[in-house]
Amino acid sequence: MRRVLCLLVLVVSTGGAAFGQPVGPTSEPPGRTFFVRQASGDDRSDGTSPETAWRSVGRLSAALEAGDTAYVGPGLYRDQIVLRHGGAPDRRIRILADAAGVYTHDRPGVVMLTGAEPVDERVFEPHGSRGVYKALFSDFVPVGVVEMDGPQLRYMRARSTREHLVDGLSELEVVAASPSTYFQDAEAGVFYLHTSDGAAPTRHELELIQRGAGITVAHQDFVTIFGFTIRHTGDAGILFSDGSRHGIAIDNVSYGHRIGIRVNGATHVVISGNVLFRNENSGVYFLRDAIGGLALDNVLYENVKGVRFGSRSNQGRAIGNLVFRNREAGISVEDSLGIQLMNNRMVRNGETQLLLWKSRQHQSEGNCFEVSPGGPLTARRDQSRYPDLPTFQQATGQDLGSRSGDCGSLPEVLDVRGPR
Amino acid sequence: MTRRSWRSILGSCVFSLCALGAADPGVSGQRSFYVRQTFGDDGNDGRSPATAWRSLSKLDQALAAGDTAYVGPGLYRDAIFLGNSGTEAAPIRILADTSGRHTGDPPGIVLISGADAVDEKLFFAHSARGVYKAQLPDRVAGAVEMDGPQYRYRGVLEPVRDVPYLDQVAELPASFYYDTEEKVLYLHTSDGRHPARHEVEVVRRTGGISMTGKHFVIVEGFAFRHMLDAGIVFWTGSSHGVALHNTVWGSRQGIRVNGATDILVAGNTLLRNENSGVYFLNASNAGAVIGNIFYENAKGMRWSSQSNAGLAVANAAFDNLENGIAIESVTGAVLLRNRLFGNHFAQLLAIRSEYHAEANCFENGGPERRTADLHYAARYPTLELYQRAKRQDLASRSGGCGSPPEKIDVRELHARSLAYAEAARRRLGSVD
Repeated sequence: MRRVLCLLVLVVSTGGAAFGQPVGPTSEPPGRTFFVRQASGDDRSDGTSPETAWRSVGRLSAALEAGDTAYVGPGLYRDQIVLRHGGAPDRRIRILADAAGVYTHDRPGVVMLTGAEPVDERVFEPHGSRGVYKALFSDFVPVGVVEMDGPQLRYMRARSTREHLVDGLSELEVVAASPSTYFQDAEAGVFYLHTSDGAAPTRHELELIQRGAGITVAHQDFVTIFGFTIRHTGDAGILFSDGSRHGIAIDNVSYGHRIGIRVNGATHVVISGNVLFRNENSGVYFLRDAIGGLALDNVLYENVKGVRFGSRSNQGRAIGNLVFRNREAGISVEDSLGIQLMNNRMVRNGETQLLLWKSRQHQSEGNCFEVSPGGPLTARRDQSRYPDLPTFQQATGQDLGSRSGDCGSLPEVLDVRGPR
Repeated sequence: MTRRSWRSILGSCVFSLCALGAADPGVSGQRSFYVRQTFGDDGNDGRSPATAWRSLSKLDQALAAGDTAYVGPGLYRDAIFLGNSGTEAAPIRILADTSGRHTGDPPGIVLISGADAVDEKLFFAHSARGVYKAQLPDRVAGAVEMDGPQYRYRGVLEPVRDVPYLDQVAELPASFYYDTEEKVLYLHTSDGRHPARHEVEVVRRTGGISMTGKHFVIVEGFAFRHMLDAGIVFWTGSSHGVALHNTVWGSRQGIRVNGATDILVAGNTLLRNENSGVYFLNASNAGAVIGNIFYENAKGMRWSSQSNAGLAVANAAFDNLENGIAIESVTGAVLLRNRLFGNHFAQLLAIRSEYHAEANCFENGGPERRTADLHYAARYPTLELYQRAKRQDLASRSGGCGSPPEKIDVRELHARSLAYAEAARRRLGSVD
C-alpha cells in the first residue's frame, strides 16, 4: 500500500512526466480552428472540423478573429481572403496552408490560390493587326490575362507601358505593336490582347485575372500567413495594407502578379522564406511609410525588382535574401531612410544588383554581388553607376566587407506548369 | 631598407591612396585604418597597409564615426574595447580582411584569442592525482587544451557544497583554479596526464571586441576563441550593433548582448561556448538573430530578463548541450523557420514568456529529449502534444530538418592561425 501511495505521489508531483507524458496546463489556449478543404468541403458546414470543412477560402474572411487558426487543404482555389478582423500580440490569427494534409486529412499537395479564371478561348476573334484578338465581356471586367501554357508572366497592361506613358502611343497601338499585352476598353466593354507568339488564343490556354489579391490584410494586426502558393491576381499575392501591423508571411510562393507581396502603409511586417518570382513590378515591395519591414531569407527572381523599399518605408531590413535574374534591380531602395542590407546574394540582375535612389543612411554589409563581365552594374546610387564593387565601395563607403564574384549556386526555378 | 620592402610599401601606398580617396560627401569621417600581423608596427600611423599597426588595441580610441578598420589575417592575442560610437549615417566598421584584398596580406583566418600560450613545463604534480600546478604571476581566468575540442576548462571560482577549491579541481577533470594570492594555477587535465602531454593555453582577456554605450558598430568576419566572457560584447547602453559572419568558440558566450538594443546577429557560427551561442539579457530589446549556426553550446540562442521583441529566423541550432532556443521572462519574441535538432534537453525552452513561433523544424534526436520545455510544469516530448497544448508552431514540422552544417575543425584553424604570420611574411617576401 505504501509503495502504491509513493507511486501516486510521484505521479502527482511530476504530473505524469515520469511516464513520458506531457505535463502542465491541459486546457487549450483561446482560439478556434477552422478548416477549408477543396476535396470535400461544403460552405454550408460550420468549418470547425475536417469533417465539416468549408469549400471556399472566402468563408474565412469574416470568420477569423483574434486567436483563430485556419487550415486550408491542398487544391486550387479560385477565390480570395479579405480579413475582416485582426489578431493581438498574444492571439495572432494564423492562416496556414496544410500542404501535407496533416490537419485536413487530405492527400498532400500544393495549396494554391489564384486570382484568374479560365476562359473559353474561342470567344476571341481577330482584330485588325496581326496577333491581336478581341472579345466582349459584359458581365465582368478582366484586370489581366495570362497564358498558362508558357512561363505564366502576366500580359502587360498597355496603359502601364512606357510606349503609352512616355511615347504617347494609344493603348490599342501598344497592343498592336507588342506581344503579351492587353487593353480593356471599358466604355465599349471590349478586351484586346496580343498573344505572345501572335497565334490565336485557341492555340494557348488563357486565363483572365479577376481578383485583386490572394490574401488581403488591411487595417488588421498580428496575422500570420504560411505556406500558400498564390498566382495571377490583379495586384499582389499577399497584401498587407492601410496601417496593419506585425503581419508575417512565411514560406509562401507568389508569382504572376503586379507584386508578389505588397506591404503598403503597413508596419513591422516580416516576409521570410518566400519564393517570389515573375511579378510585373517587385517580388516584395514595402511602400508608403511601411516602416520597420523585414525581408529575411527569401528567394526572388525574374521580377522587375526583387526586394524594393519605396516612399519613406524607413528602417527596413533585407537580410539573407537571394535575388537573381530580376530584370532591373536585385534590391532597390528608393526614398527611404535607414535601410539595412546584410548578407544578401545579388546575382546577375538585369540592370544593377543594388539600386539606391534618393535614400540616405542605409547600411550595407556582408553582401555578395555577382555580375557577368561587361554586364550590368554592381550598384547604382542616384545618377552614379558603379560597374564593380571596389568603385562602389570607394565612392560610398558601403559594403566594405562585402564580396564580388561567385556567390554560390542558385536554386532551381519552379516549374509553374507542373501540377496546378 | 631593402629593395623588397620599398616595392612592397610602394604597392601598398598606391592601394591605400585608392582607398583613402573613398570620401563620400554625405558621410563624415570615413577614414580607414589597418592592422597587420605580418608587417604591422604600432609606431606607424595605421592609415595605410604600408603603415599598418600590429596591435588591435590601437583601434580602441582611433576609430570614430564613419571609420573602417581592416584587420589582416593572423592570430591576435589582443582585444578591442571601443572608445567611440558610429552614427546611423556613419557607422564604425571593424572588418576582418580574410581575403587580404584590403591589407595586401595573403588570405587567411583573422583570429582573436583571449588566451595565451603557456610553457607546460612550468607545471608540476600536485598531491591529487591528475592535478598540476604552476606559479604564474599574471592572473589566469581560464584554461584550455588546444589539442582537444577546445572547450574551456571549468572554473571552480565559487564555493560549492563547502568543498575546498582544490578538492573540486581534484574531483573534476578539465577544471582549474587560480589562487590569486599565491599566484598559482591549479589544473586538472582532461585525461589526468601532465600538461606537457597537451598544448595548454591560459585565458586572460574578457572579450574580443567589446563596447559599452556605443552605437552603430559593425563587426564582420572574425574568428574569436577562448575569451573569459564573449567574442563580441555589446554592453549596457549600446544599440544598433551588427555582428556578421563571425565565428566564436570556447568562451562563456559566443556573443553577449547585455542591456543593448536593436542588435543584429546574422550569419555567424557560434560553438562550444559554456553558456550560449548568443545571449540577450537585461532588457536587450529588439535583438535579431538571423541565419546563424549554433552547436555544442549549453544553449544556442538565449533571451532573458525582459529582453523583449526578439526575433530568431532561419537559424540552425543542433547538438547544443541543453536547448536550441531558450526564451526566459520575455515578451513579444518571434521564432520563425529555425531548425532545432538534436539539442540534448529540449529543442525549445520557454519560461514565463510570451512568444509567437511558426514554421520551425524540430528533430529531437533521442527519446529522452523534448521538443519543447515550457518550464518545469509543461514538457512536451512531441511537436503534436506541444502544438495541442500551446497552439504554437502549428505550421512547424517534426523530423526531416535536413543535414546539419559541417562542424568546424578548431584544431585545424588553430594550426593555421599559428603558422600564418611566418608563412605570409615568407610569401610576401618571395613575391617581391
